[in-house]
Amino acid sequence: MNDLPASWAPLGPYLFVAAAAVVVAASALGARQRKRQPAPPVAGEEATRLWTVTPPWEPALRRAGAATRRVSRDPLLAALGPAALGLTAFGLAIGRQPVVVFLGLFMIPTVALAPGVLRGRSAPAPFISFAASDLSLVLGLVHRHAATGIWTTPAPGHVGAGALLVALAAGLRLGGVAAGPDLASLPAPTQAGWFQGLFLAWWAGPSTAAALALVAVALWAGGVAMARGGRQESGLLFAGGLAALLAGLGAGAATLTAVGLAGTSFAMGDRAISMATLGLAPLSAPAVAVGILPALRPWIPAALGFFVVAVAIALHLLLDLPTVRARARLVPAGAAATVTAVLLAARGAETVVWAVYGLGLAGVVAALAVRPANMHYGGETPADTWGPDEDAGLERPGLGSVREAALAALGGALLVVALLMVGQLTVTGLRTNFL
Amino acid sequence: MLFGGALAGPALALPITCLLIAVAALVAPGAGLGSPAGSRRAAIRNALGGLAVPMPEARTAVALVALGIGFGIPLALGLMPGNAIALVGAFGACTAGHCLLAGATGARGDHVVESPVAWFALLSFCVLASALRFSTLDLRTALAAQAAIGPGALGGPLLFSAVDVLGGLVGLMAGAAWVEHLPRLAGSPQAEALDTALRWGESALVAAAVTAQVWGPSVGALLHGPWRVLVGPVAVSTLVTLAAVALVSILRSKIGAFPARSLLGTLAPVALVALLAARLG
Repeated sequence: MNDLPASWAPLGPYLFVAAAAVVVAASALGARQRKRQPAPPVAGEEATRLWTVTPPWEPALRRAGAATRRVSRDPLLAALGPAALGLTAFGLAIGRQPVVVFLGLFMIPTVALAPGVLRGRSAPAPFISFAASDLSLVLGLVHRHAATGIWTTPAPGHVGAGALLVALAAGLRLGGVAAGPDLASLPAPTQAGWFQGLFLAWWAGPSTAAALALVAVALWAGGVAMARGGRQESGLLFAGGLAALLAGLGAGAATLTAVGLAGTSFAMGDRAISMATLGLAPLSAPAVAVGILPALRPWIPAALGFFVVAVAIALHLLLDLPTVRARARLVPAGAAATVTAVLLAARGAETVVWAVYGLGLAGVVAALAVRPANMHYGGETPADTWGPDEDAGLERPGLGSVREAALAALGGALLVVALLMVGQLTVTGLRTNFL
Repeated sequence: MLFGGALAGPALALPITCLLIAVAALVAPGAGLGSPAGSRRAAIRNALGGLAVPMPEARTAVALVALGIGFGIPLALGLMPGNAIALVGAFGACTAGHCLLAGATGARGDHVVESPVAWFALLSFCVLASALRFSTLDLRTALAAQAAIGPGALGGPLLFSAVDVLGGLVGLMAGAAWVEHLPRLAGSPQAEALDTALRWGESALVAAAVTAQVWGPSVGALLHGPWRVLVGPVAVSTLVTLAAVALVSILRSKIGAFPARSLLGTLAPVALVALLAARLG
């Protein structure tokens, strides 16, 4: 699942836009569903419903009608839609380099946040972070386009300051999303900012690898702290860190889009598919896969060490997070699975055969081992129902004690040292470069 | 590549995976199951009997473990193209799936022994370090280089051979500890049987991942080289892998009996220095 074929490269930026649209739609649908109150049960209603036949297109029409009415009633959404369409059309009209589209789209979340901040209804931190990101992005784009004039291909030696500015914008963008009090309480368009941050990380790419690696480490540190507090957004931080690292390693647009969808899915509560996608994601870092070591940069092994340790910790800390009870939460997960499937198919026959083998085998085993009749959506697992009394004196999965955490840290440190040294640095090199 | 050529890898992967899991089942510790073959058959029947898990993603969690084992073993044996990070991802998938299921079935108290994170990190280190010895993360390249050096203790420079053996032992011990410290599924005979079956697969995965990089050529070499020449060495390396599976299963039953942490704490730095010695010279 490395990336799309080279001939599809111009489609890359639009993948981020499509993914942002999927997430915004899913969160909007989820919010609607959460607001809807369940009707009191009526005797015999269930039996009646069993025998009622409705055409399959009716739910879609109902939803489309409601969405249209909602958009027409909401002035902000009504204004943003035509603005986005106009910018897209203009960007497409001026040629193959959609700078205008992205500059405009990047600023929409900032504009959407502004009224709430001005009226004192929401915290200023996300707005300030997004505005700073926009400023950095404009400066970076201006610098980069003045230097190269090419949308996707940077000219080495001329993009240093611009690329760093874009990396800074990506960090601010990702940080801005996390700075909000609650992901669900933010306006839906701001969730598109998550994909804009990913786009920025991808666009900055390997030329800002060191900055992106630092961003990744910072995000993972923040993710650990937030997951300890039981906050859903920690999933986004872990996915963002992984995406930043992959972008630094040269992963393509489609891969980062899949990671972005998985991160959103994590935050919305469907953890299993997200974890599978995040687990597959490192496969797609082409710089890691083959032939990197001759051109190894000194920071890559350390970043990989952090990556492995962070993934190990994240897997355990994220498992206890509560689930968002909304049917639309499956949409980002489904989209992540679809993008991953397309990537696999684009890789050729051998990859397809292996994917069919692995997924088929896993599917058969899972179908045999688990009975579907007892799987009820929205229900709490026994672990979720544990109270403080039940937890007293009992150990739960995860980093159970300081001793275990210290051992894990020791293992991680060993790993980092090993990777640093085995990579390309000898003792002499270490002494020369660091001591 | 045509589909016919692409099918060779999975066609070899399925029987070798079944063989490794069967050996793990034969030698696995029999706590709670009894050692007779009838108990193993009952465990398999119960494991595939349809466990009722009160979690919507239960099937996905089981699939995650199966995917980790199903992809991890062919990756480790060079049948499937991939890199060492992907192999670490397979361990991660098994860990995540197992923990998710354990959480859903309400495993706690004396069933949750310890966190597997430390062992996961050490096992990952062993796998990554074994591949990076050959200055690559690509597993097929690493396996080819390993096969060129010679099989483990019997070939290659003395230092390299010692490193192979030491690294392999540490890897197998860390792997056994990782398998044993994954949280247990509990609450019903089906849950316990599924837990046992998943551990068989995870033991096979660990043994294949560690041993294939120490003693080659592995089965994957048959896809790329003259099979008449390779069939003998491959048969020997397969036997070594099977022995490693048995060793992991035996070590699992002894994990609680010996001070594994102290032993690994001593051996791991030694192995680290030994692994790096060739590079430091």
